[in-house]
This record gives sequence, C-alpha cells and structure tokens, in this order.
Amino acid sequence: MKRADAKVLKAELRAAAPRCGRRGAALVVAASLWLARLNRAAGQDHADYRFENYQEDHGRMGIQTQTWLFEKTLRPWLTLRGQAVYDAISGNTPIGAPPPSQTKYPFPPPGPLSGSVPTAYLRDKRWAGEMEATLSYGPHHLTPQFSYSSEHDYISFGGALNYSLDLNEKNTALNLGYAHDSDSVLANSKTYILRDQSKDTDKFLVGANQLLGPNTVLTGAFTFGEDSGYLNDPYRGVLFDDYPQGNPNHPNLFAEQRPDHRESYIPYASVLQYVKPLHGSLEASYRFYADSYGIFAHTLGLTWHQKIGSRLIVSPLFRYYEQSAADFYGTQFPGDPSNPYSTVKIPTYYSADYRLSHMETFTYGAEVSARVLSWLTLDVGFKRYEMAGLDGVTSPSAYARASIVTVGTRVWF
Amino acid sequence: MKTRPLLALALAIGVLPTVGCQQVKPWQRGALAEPIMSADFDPIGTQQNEHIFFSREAASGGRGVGGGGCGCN
Repeated sequence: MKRADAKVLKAELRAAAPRCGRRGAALVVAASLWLARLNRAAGQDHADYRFENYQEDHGRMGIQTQTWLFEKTLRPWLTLRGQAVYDAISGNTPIGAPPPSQTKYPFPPPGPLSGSVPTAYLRDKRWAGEMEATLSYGPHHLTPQFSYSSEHDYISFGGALNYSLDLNEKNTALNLGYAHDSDSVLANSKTYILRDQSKDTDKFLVGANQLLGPNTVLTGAFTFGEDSGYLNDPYRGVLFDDYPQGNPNHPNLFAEQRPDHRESYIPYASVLQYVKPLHGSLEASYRFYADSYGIFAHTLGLTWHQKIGSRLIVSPLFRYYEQSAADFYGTQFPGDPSNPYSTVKIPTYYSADYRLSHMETFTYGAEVSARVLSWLTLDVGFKRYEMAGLDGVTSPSAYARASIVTVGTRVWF
Repeated sequence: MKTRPLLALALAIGVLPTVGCQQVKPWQRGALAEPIMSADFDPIGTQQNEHIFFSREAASGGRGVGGGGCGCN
C-alpha cells in the first residue's frame, strides 16, 4: 500500500474507533483496502507482452518477435522502464545482383534466365534489451537510457540521455535528446568482410510538445544524425558488367562500397486531435528526411483511435513513405574492379541494395485493444507492408511485401 | 549540404509552438487524459513498427532518440 493510502487509513481508523467500536473499524479497514485495491488497479504501472509475426510473401524474410516491457513508478520522482526483445529471423534476402534475365552480360549465357533477383537464405536470432529511468524534479525530467543488442553477426551498445522541461503551466514541453550507439559488425563465412568492423552513430534531437487547446497536442522535433565507420551491408554484393560470369543464377559479386560517413537531417511534426462527437482521436504526422547519401524521403502517417464503449479501442492506420535513391545506387555497374588494366573508371562508391533505390512503401491495417478486466488489456492487430520501386530499373521482385500479425497483453498493477 | 537553414528550421520547431497559443487549464484537460490522446498509447507497437521501417527503408528516426541495435536483415 502506498504511504498516502496508509495515512488515510490511519485517520479513518482513529475517527471510526470511538463511534463504532472494533467491528466498525474493521469494516472501515475492509472498505479502505478495497478502495486501495481499486486505486491500484487503475494505476499507470504495467507489464506488457507482445508477439509479432512478420512474414514476407514468396518465402522471403520471416521474423517472429517477442517483446516484454514493464513500466513502474517507484517514487513520484522516479519511473523505471525496461524492455527485452527476442527475434527469430529466417528466410531469403536479395544478394544485390539483378535478375539473370536483366543482367548485361558481354556474352549472354544460353537458355531461359530467371526474372527474379537472386537471394540467399539467412537464419539468425537476436536478443535486445533497454533500461531507462525518468528522474523528475519540478518541471525538469531527465531520462538516461542504456540499450544492448546481440546477433551472431552484430553487437550494439547504446546510451541515450533525454531531457524534458515543462513550461507555461504544462502547456508546453521542450525536449532535448542525445544518443550514441557503438556497434560491431562481425565477420562470418557469408559476409564480404574478413575481420570485424565497427560503426558509431550519434543523434541529437531538439523538439517541443504544445497544447493548442483542450483537444489538440502539437509535437515538433528536429533530429540531426551522424553515422561513421563501416556502413556497408556485409551481405550485399554488386555485379560489374565486365567481370566474367559463370552460372547466371549464382553471379560473382563484389562487396558494396558506401561512404564511411553519413549525416542525416530529420524534421518531424505530428498533431493529435481529440474528436469529441465521435469519441475518437486522430494522429497525423509528417517527417522529412535528407542525408549526405543524397536520399530525400517523405513520410505521412495517419492513425485513428476509435473508442467503442468504455473497454474497446479500434485503431486503423495508414502510412505512406517515399524516398529518392542514394547517389551511388545502381542495379549493376560498368567495368571490372579486379582488372587493373581496365579502361573503364570504377566509381568510388557503389551499392545495389534495393533499400537505397527510389521507392515507396505503404503500410495499412488495424489494431483492436480490449480492456477485458480492470487490470488486464488484450490486443490483436493485422497490417500489410508493401514496397514498390519507382525507378523503372530495379526489378519489382527485389521489393518485399509482408503481412504482420500481432497479439499482446498488458497487465496493470 | 547547407546546414544553416535546417538549424533555423530546428529552432523554429522548438520555439514557434510556444507562441500565441491559448492556455489550457488543468480542469480543461479531460480529453487530454484519455488513453487515446497519449503519445505513448502503444509503446511496443510503435517500436516494432519503427523497427520494420528501419530495416526496409533508407530513412529512419525523427520521433525520438535512443534504443539501438540492428536486426536489419
């Protein structure tokens, strides 16, 4: 029982004892305990579990994710939040080569050629964890965070510090954040690297939340990001026109070469609007993204939360994303890097990773959340994630389309 | 890339919302206290979605900083 509840209980006991005797005092104690229990049931502390099955069509990647999360206010000035994630990853992923039927061969091989991009089978598992504590002192809120993630080919250590300042009678909150990740890309028999490589990421954020009225919250933020070190994908290769090829379904590729430094600039804005007549709320967000790879991206998100009665919330969502290609993206490149006598100039940077191409993605679906008991919420959701190329060059078979099913629960305590 | 206009934009995002808005008093915040008005309505769902987008798209981030890790196959 919380300290405030105990004080109230003592005062009630003192007041009741002279009037009603022991039986009355016992009734008051029982009633107070019941009320205290109700009060706890409606608290903000919770433990969550969510299972997500992400499955791409046509046997591409499948990822089963289990996530555990808890949030507990230990003191009025201290809230802890922790999270653990387990991913089971398996499936086929493009290796970077174009479909054999679209490959520019100096001497085309005989016979029918596949129209799909060649893929390789990957299998991995990932454990990740995060722990953060929010420390509050008056209008100041400081949240240090530590994170860790481990796969057989990747290890990440992260630290972040977020600060929030309430202003203007809590109508405004200013937000500042800094995060640093120190990652290791681990070599194995399937990677293009022979030794482990390192990568560092820094992110700075400045933003604000502003109440625009009793029903409207505006959020704005600007993030500057800087990545340095080994920024290639160690599994993606690049096909060069002049390098001799044997089996067109198993082409000989070279490791991609991306710049070892990347800066990103990300303005973000969202509006959360309560629509009283419909007992619902709309969250609309827009993000602009630009980076030193030459990529520009626009993201529009819309989520509607519909209350049905006092226990059910239905949340349909739609998201649209569009990006331009990286300056060094191509499906295949001229020349032969292994031939020092080649007269064809090899570019400094090159990648055939379809995720750096000019493309768009759509996400749509819905989630249903039901508070079945005062202390228990269940949720289930279904989404589709669909990618599509826009450059007219990259094979449509490179782009993934996936179904995402989620099932979860939240226990309030 | 020129960073000065973007820094100005960042400042604008931080400062502009504080100007010229009506004060919302504590007793007017009934709707704001609804779970569906919480930016943290579904923390796991938001994070899982962001992880999918991060794995498949060149752009990521914008909502906040922190976290880490890959799982980007």
